[in-house]
Order: sequence, then structure tokens, then C-alpha cells
Amino acid sequence: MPEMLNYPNLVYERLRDILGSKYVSNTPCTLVAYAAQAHASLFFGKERLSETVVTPSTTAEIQNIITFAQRNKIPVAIYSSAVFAYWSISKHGGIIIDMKRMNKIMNVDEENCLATSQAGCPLQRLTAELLKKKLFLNQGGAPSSCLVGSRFTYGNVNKASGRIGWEYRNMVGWEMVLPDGTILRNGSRANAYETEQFWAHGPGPDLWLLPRYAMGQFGVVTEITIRCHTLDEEIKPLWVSFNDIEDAQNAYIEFVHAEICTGSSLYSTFKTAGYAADTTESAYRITRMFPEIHMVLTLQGTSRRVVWEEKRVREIAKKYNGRIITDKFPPFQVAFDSQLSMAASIYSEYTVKYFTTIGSGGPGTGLSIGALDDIEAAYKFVKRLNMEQEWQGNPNKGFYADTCAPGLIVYPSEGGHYALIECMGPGIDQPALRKANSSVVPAVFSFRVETGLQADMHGGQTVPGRRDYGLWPTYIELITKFHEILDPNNIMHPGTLFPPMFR
Amino acid sequence: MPKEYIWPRMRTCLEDYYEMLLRCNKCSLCKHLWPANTYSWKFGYQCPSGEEFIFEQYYSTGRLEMAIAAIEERLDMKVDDFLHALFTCTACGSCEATAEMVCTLTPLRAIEELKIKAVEKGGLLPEHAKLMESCKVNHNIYNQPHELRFAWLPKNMNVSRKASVMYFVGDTICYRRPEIALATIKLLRRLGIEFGILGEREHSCGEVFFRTGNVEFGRKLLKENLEYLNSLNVKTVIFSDPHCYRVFSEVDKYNLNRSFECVFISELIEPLLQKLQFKRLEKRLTYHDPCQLGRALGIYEPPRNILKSIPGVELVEMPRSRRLSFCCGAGGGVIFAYPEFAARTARRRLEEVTDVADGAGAKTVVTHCPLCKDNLLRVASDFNVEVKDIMEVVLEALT
Repeated sequence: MPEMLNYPNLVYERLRDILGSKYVSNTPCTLVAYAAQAHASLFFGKERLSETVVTPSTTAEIQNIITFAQRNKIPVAIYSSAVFAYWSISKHGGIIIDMKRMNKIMNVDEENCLATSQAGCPLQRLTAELLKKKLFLNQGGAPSSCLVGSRFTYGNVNKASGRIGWEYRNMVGWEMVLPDGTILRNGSRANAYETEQFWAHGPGPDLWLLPRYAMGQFGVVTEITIRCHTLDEEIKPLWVSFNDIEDAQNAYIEFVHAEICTGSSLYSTFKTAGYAADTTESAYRITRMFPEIHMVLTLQGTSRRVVWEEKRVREIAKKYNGRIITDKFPPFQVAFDSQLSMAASIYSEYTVKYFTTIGSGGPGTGLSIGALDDIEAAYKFVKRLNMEQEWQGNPNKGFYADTCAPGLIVYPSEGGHYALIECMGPGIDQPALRKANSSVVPAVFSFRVETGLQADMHGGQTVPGRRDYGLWPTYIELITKFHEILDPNNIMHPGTLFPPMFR
Repeated sequence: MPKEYIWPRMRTCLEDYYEMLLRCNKCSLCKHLWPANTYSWKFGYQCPSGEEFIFEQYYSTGRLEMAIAAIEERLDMKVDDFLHALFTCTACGSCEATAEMVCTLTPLRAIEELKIKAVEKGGLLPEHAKLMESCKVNHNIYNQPHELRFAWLPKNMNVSRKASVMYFVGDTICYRRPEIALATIKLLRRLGIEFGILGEREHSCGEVFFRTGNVEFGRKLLKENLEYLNSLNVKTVIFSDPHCYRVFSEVDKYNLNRSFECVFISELIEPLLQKLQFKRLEKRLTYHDPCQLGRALGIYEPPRNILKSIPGVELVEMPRSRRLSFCCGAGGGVIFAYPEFAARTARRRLEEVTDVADGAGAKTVVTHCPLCKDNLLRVASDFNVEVKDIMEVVLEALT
């Protein structure tokens, strides 16, 4: 971008000295473009402008930026891929560090199944390289555009990630610039003399969990080393559709008992409609056009096993009136993408088999958990939660009652004893969703906290006045102490976990 | 001010897109290919301007935020940074190809409406204004004398000025790449198709003005051409420039009438291939899908089938091809306003040409658009790559 387009001020000029004028911008367009993000509209209700945006490409540049910001008490926020990382936009002005240029793949160690990359490398880029070597990343259902840094340090707001660190545990080392400009290397990377990296934990206590759920408040993760996993000889996604939920459930149970399909998930039409529809009406059209229940299956193993599994899937699907519809509709490209990154990992033997998320695709969402044989009870709860909000009107009247029964996504846990049920309503308009979130999101979170699905109300975050909710007091005290030591001026993403101490 | 939901086909102005703009959840899938389609991380990105200028406002995600701000009157649409972020969009449609599939968003259409609004508010770029002035005086966008429009046509090559089948040549071919027209004419004759050209009555089709927000002027030019062609009682008009073909194919969109059929040259030739006798042509080629022909008009296979029918030709696909093709960098009026950026994008594309066939590379890149050829040729010598239009390759292969 030509330098003349920027508006000089002292902060801009100093950052320009660090990075060069091409990589610093404070034009109105830049600030507007960086003011929105998937969850910003849901949680803020309006955009928050930063003052300068920078795009560094090395750890040293980030170190210089942070040091400069700390010295001058300028807030810093980290902008990743703007999805699946809450509040990655500025809440209190200051500098946004866009991680796009931190996208280099440093090393893929095929022998030890490890990949090292900069934190701004998109999953797409790393996955593409790994696939060439028959490896894959073990991560949850994220778009391939997510950045590895935010994805693996923050993870998803789900039980597997929140409670047991499913994604976090796939890291074996990271490098981070702390709020005072110090570079911290942890895990295997802490040992400067050891070239091979295997272990996430060094001897004795360390700061391994520092970046987890921190959203940049304890510093900027710049490089990570991740465990990869080997793909089987052959991997093949299959999409089966059912017109009846009972049939789909029965087929699913039979798949589980037959111990076939390493990856499997059951989607209602509304899941697809939620991604693909732009309004209630178009959701309705898609619902009419598409089959009612979708089952996405991943077959993995030797070529012979995949052939056999496919045969079994087809037999079972036929028995329950299912139809194989793989590659019939363009949106299945999306499914293939997610299957490749998700099903191969999330539902595979390497990981736990349950997964939760709040849909960010637009539709209102309800979540619940229940035993697989008691889906109905959980279903009633999410139906009530999702459909009886004022903003969606009375479910027993009008358009919703006539046309759009809520859909189901069933995520079975290992062994099939428990299931997470996601209920998605039809596509709704975004302004209404913004209004609705004041009631729906707390309701969903409350339920998940009460049922032990989630540690706290805000996916590991808390806000003033709600600190006692869902987080253990000792945890709050500890993390506050850490923060006071590392970031005395509270420049790192102020206003999310810790309120701003200045201005 | 913002309107309620408007049915996609009924959207006629930027405000009609407001509801759609809010639905962009910034998933960023429009910026990259899917992993399964990514041959190499080097060729995994999709947006030419985003890749060049890095900041969000150069991707469709940021431009949609600019559109929201423009509707809400929070941004000055005449300032340089706004215009730079907006008009560096090459209108290649790669973002739309993904976004429409993933979540029924049509970012390119919204961006084009934003360009129209920007021009209405006085944001016409000086370089684009020059194109308009040139058309007013010379009837072409290249500021060349109108009488030279068909100067490339040999005097001994008599082409009728009135026929039931006409060949609309277009500005770029006439003034920049006449070899494409000569090859096309020779080929049509070899096939025994009787046709005519408009001669001095052919004016600029106005496509660049539709892509750069100056729709009213583009419509005026298109109307002039249509009125003349309609008056000739022409049955079919053949095109070899996808830009011209696109605007003539979309006349309904601009409330204009057309009394003839539009045919693109490769679609015309493909079923007649058995009439042509080819000699062996030992070449490894790769085909670059022009955005206006591929994503905009859906013509992917006819050019490939033509190339495959030539004996000895080895057609290798680039990692990004067909719907996922990467732009050459010239579209959307970018080559006129930001020629350096257009050249850098062409370089990125030619890097891919030299990387096909597992790194062996292709020595020839074949395209089907004069603007693509013109832009790629500007940097081709640095890569030791030959750039040809498909008509030239076919002509070369004819016995």
C-alpha cells in the first residue's frame, strides 16, 4: 500500500520504523476492516476501532512492537483468522497485530510426526503440506482458514478442549513474546540444545498453560510445534442421508456396534441450512430440497478395509432407508474439507469422540448433552431453549411451527453412552441474532456450566461482576497474580479478562 | 439506509445487500483453497489484492465491512485509501466462488455495487476517467484513433461488413492483440463459416466500465453497439474476447434488448473439430482460465477439449485451475489504474506455470482472453514462458 495513504502520527511513525511502511496502516478503511469479526457482532453489538494495524513476519518484529507498546502503554490485540478466537479485535483502540505474515512452515519432521510453523500459518497451508506426507493435524471442527497459533493455543469452546486440553495437548512446544518483550520458549523448545522435540512438559513446573484461553492477554504466541498423526493407507468420506431421525439413529447405533467408520457425525438438514441459507425462507427451501438428516462418515484404514467398510455402510444405510449422496451437491465440498481436518482427527481413535460448539454460522443454536438412549429429553430442552425465545416468536404458531421444526446434531461420546445434541433453528437475520444473544448465549452457557460441559460462562473468560461464575476462586487469584507480574500496565488485549487499568 | 432482506436476484443497489453483508462471519475461507485442493502452500491463496497488500480491506472480508460502513455513512468514499482498497479488486470472483457455496454470500456482486456507489459519490479514479474520455472521442479505451481500429487487417483479406453472422472483435484485440483476431478469422474461414465484421461501426463494448462502477457509461456504449447490430438483422455474433462476450450475454441485466444470439469462439469450434486437420504439435501446454470466461460464464471445458484434440499436445493443469483458477491480475480495470500491481499478480501466476507437472514446468501458457495474454506477456520474458491465445495454437496446429 502506498505510504501516502497513511495518516502519520507518532505511533504510526515508530511502528513504520520497526516494520517498514508497507506493513503498517492506520487508514480509516483499515480500521473499519479490522473492526469486525465473527463473534464481535454477537458480543459487542457494534464495531470497535483500533488505531493502527501492523503485520509483522518475525518473532523479533513482534518483540519490538510489544516492547514499544509496553513502554508507551498502548493496548495491543492479536488478530488471527477472525473466527474461532473470541475478541480478536481491539476493544480499547491501540495496535492490532495481524498474524497473516507469520505464516511460514519451519519444519515437518516426518519421522517423528511433528510440524513446526509460525503461529499465523493457516490450517489449510499446514494441512496441505502434511497430507503430502500422509500426516494430519489433530484438531476440531475448524475452518481450514483458522490459524494454527490461535487454534491450538485457544482451541474451541468445548469440553474436550476446555476440560482436558484435547487440542492443546497436541502441542509439544511453543515460543511466545511476553507482555514485557521477553521471549519465552516452553515444552520441548525450552531446551535450546535439544534438536528433537517430543514432550510438552519439561522437568518441574513451567508456564506451559500460559497462552491457553488467554487470547493474547499473556503475550503473543509466535511459533508452535505440533504433533501430527499418520493417515491410514486410504481415507474416504461418505455422506448418507435419511428422511427420518429414527432411521438415522438406528443406523448410527449399528455403525457403532459394527465398529466401522473412524469419523462419524449426524447432522440435521438445518446444519446444512444454517451454513448455506441466508434467510429463514431459503433455509426452508434447502430443507425441502435436501434430505432431512445427514450422516457424515469417514472410512479409514487399509484399502481392503475401506472397501469392506463402504460395503457395510451401504448395507446398513439401505436397511434404514438411507441414501449415499456423497458429491451430489456443491456444499459437500465444505463437508469434505471439514471431514478431512475434523473427522480424521476428532472422531478417530486418537481423540475423544464428543465435541461441542456454538454455531457461528448464523443460526441460533442450542446445545445439550444426554444419554444416547434419552435423546428425547435433551432434545426437548434444546428445542425449548432454541425455539421459545421471544425473538423467534412462538414455535407453535406461524412460519416456524408450520415449516421449520428444529434440527438435531448428535455427537456420540466414546462407546456411544452419551451424546451431545446440537439443535439449530433455521437461518435467521443477523440483526435479530445480535439482539437475541443477550438472552440466548447466557442461557446456553449457564446450562453448559451447570451440566459440567464447560468450565465457566465465557469459554475460559470471565468479566467483572461474574468472576465467581464457573471459575474456581484459586484459579482467578492465580491468573490475576500472573497477569500483574507479566503485564503491569495491562496492555495486552485489555477489557476481555482483565479490565483496562488506564484511560 | 439499511433495508430489510431482499431476495438475491432482486438486489439492485448496495443497500439491498446490507443484510447479506452482516452475515459474513469472517471465516476467511474465501482467502484460501481447501486443503484437498491445495497442491502446494505456495499456491494456496486465492485473492490477488489480498496477497499483495496483506491488510484485511484488500480481501473481500474487509471490503464487505467497508460496504457496511459506506451504507451507514461512516466512511468517506472519496479518499485515496478507500478507492485504493476498492479498485485494486480485480473482480476475479474467486471469493464469490467459495462464499456462495459455503454460506450463500455474493461478495463480488456487493463489491461491484460498492464501486458503483463510490463512482456516484465522486470517486471515479482519474485513470478510469481517462478511459471514458478516450471512448467519447475515439470509441475505444486505449486512446487510439478510431480509424486504426482495423488497421491490422491485411488489405488482401476481404471481410464483409454485413452478414448474418458477425464477429465482434473488441478493443483489446483490435488495439493490443490483433494476432488473436487474425487467427480467429483464418480459423473461421477454414471452417467455412461466412461472417462479417462491423468495421468502423464497432465501438468499445463498455465492459471495463461495468467492472469499475461506471455502469451508466458502459450501458451507453453497449446500447450503441446493440442498436447497430439489431438494425443489421444479425442472427449470430461471435466473440473471441470474454469481456465483450460477457456484457453482450448479460444485456437483460442492463435493461437492453438483443435480437441475435451470442456465441463464444471456442464453443463454436469445439463441435466442429472433426472438420479440422491438425499436424503434430510437440508441446507441453498449460491452460490459464480467464476469470471472465471461467467463473463468470462457466466455460471451462471447450478450450481444454480443443487443446486435447491437437496431436502431440500435452495439456498439464496448474494447481489452481477451472473454478479455483488464479487471476492474471488485469481484470476489474486494475491494469489501467494499477499496472504495477497487475504485473506483480501476473508474476505470481507465471510462477505457477513454471511449477506445473511436478515442478517440470510448462514452456507455454495458453489463455483465451486478450487482456490476460497482454498482462501475462508483460512479465513472461522473465520466466522464459511463451504466452499464447488458444486461437493462435489452433492455427499453428492446422495443416
